[in-house]
Amino acid sequence: MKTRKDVKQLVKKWRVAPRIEMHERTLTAVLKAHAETQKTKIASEQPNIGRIIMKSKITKLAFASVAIIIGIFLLFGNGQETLYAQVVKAFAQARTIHVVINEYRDRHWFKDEEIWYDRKEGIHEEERFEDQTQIRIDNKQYEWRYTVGDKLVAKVSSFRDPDEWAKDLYEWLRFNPERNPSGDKIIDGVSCDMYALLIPDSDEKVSVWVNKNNRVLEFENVEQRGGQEIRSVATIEYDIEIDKSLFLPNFDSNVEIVGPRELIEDQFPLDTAIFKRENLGFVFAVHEFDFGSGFKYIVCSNRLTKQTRDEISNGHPWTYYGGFYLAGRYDKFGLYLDTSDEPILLARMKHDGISIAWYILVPGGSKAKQNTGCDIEVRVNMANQLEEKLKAEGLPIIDKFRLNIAPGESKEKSLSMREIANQVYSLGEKYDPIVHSFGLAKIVTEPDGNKVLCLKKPGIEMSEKEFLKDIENRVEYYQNLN
Amino acid sequence: MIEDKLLKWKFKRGSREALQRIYEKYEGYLLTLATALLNDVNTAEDVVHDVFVSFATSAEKLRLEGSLKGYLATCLVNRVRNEMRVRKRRPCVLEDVNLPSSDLNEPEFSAVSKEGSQKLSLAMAQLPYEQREVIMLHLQGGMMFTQIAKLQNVSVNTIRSRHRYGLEKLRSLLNSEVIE
Repeated sequence: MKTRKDVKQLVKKWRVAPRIEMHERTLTAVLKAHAETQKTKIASEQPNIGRIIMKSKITKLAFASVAIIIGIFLLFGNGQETLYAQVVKAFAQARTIHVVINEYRDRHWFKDEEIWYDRKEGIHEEERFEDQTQIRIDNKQYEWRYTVGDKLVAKVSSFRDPDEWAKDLYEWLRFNPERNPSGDKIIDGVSCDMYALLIPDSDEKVSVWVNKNNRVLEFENVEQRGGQEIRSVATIEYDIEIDKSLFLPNFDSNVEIVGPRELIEDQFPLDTAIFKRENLGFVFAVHEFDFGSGFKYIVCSNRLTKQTRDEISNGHPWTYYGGFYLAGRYDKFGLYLDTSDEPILLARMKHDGISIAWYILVPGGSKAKQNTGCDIEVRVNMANQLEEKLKAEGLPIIDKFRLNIAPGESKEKSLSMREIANQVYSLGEKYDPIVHSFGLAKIVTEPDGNKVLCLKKPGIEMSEKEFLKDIENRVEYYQNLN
Repeated sequence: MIEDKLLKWKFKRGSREALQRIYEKYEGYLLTLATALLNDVNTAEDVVHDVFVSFATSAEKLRLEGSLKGYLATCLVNRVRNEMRVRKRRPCVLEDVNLPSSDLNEPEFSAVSKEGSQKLSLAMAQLPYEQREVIMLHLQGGMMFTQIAKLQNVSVNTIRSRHRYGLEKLRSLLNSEVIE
């Protein structure tokens, strides 16, 4: 018998967690609406790519530096061309730009990022994350991304104009920096004015030095991180000679250059799929369906049809066109159907209009245990350009259907959870370096220096051992409900 | 709350990162609130989507004082009320109702078990809307009765009564055989 206090606790603890698809779709829409409001010029960027760029120290620092310059104009503008416009013009007139960012932490200076930009050739960027070095080259035709030490290099068509990388600088336009003549200094023999910004309610301070030609030569960012002061200093050189080979994909001879989408399509081909359904511009497929002890294991994919891709793709490999998820089957009272399975999402990978998901199915109803197949619902939702296209055609933007399949004769086998965890991790190891932010896994360095591959879940990173334990706990939880 | 203050300040100054953090911080709370008020996860998702998209464009109007969580909850409640008005004008069949499904209530995401969540959702659906709103805003959102009274445009005593009657009915429903 529940007391009033029990009921209060129950309501307080009740949480409905957002589905991944909802989270991403809404976040995309929110950031898009925000960008439009701010009238920024990052139109060709998708929010996820925006996040990648935002991770870059150069961008972060440069945001602040230009914001300061804008502020200078706001404070001292005289009706002539704004200083902001002059700075942008100065950026635009540069033939080449070379940026080096050093960070002072743990009593040492570390080179964190270096960028070479040539207006004719493109951009070459090297950035360090913990002990990894990531390289991005864009020669205006193709983009290559490579993490030093990996076996694969991702190659995609160039989707972002290298000339416009400075456009990100426009985002932070509302700061009001102060001119600080006491910090003026000479950089490489050139006298520079200092402007400073102290961000209220935070420990972040930004200083920028601008020469008489409106070129930012140096900026410095100081912030408190983990109880210590972290100082980043970026130095910028203009119109220097840059070795053109930097813009060519000259990687180690033992690495393979691959197209991530093509590689994923090869790994999960439609022609050998156990089940296929084409509807509303997507093809849903089941690639693997096996039995374990008291559970089932299923690997599914969802991808744009070739025709849809040709019609709507903008060539941006990180565009999200929609996704799918599996759900148990319920009656109108929200109770399980006797035959329904309960899907547990293990991992998900998305890239360029393809989404792959790994699930374990646990019998959710009393009759589901006797099922020789599976009984679940598939829900596919469309987003962005595909959603707009379907709406314009008066078609639905959600596809729901029941999936009731049996394993193929040669496919039936008994898998252990350890094998499943291992399979997911192996794929993560293979794909993460090339699909980047939407990968299955992430390499982290533990305190003892060992590198561990961790599965990325919302807000969680798990080692293979923790992942296995997590699967076992979740399966046990559902088995005990029945 | 200090973080919220900083987030609001940064958001007002155009920070996309701050907006993203606000979204990630409060989407779960708003989705739970909307699901409880509407008894329909799909519509709840749409409402949360609309609230945040509208919020994203309202940096200029956002006031720095006051609780961010309370502000978002108020925006959501207003949207939900609009949705309820639309619903009243069209026939609703029980099959249309989408309760939180299994994937929304996996153990690591939910402090209440799947079974408990479904029961609670069904019981909540049987409360009068005003009582549901008071219970959720007070217990989930931590809003004071005076704040809710202002939102519902009634006296604090009325809010107290709605809270008391609502809880009692909820207790009775959760203990009854009907939804066991």
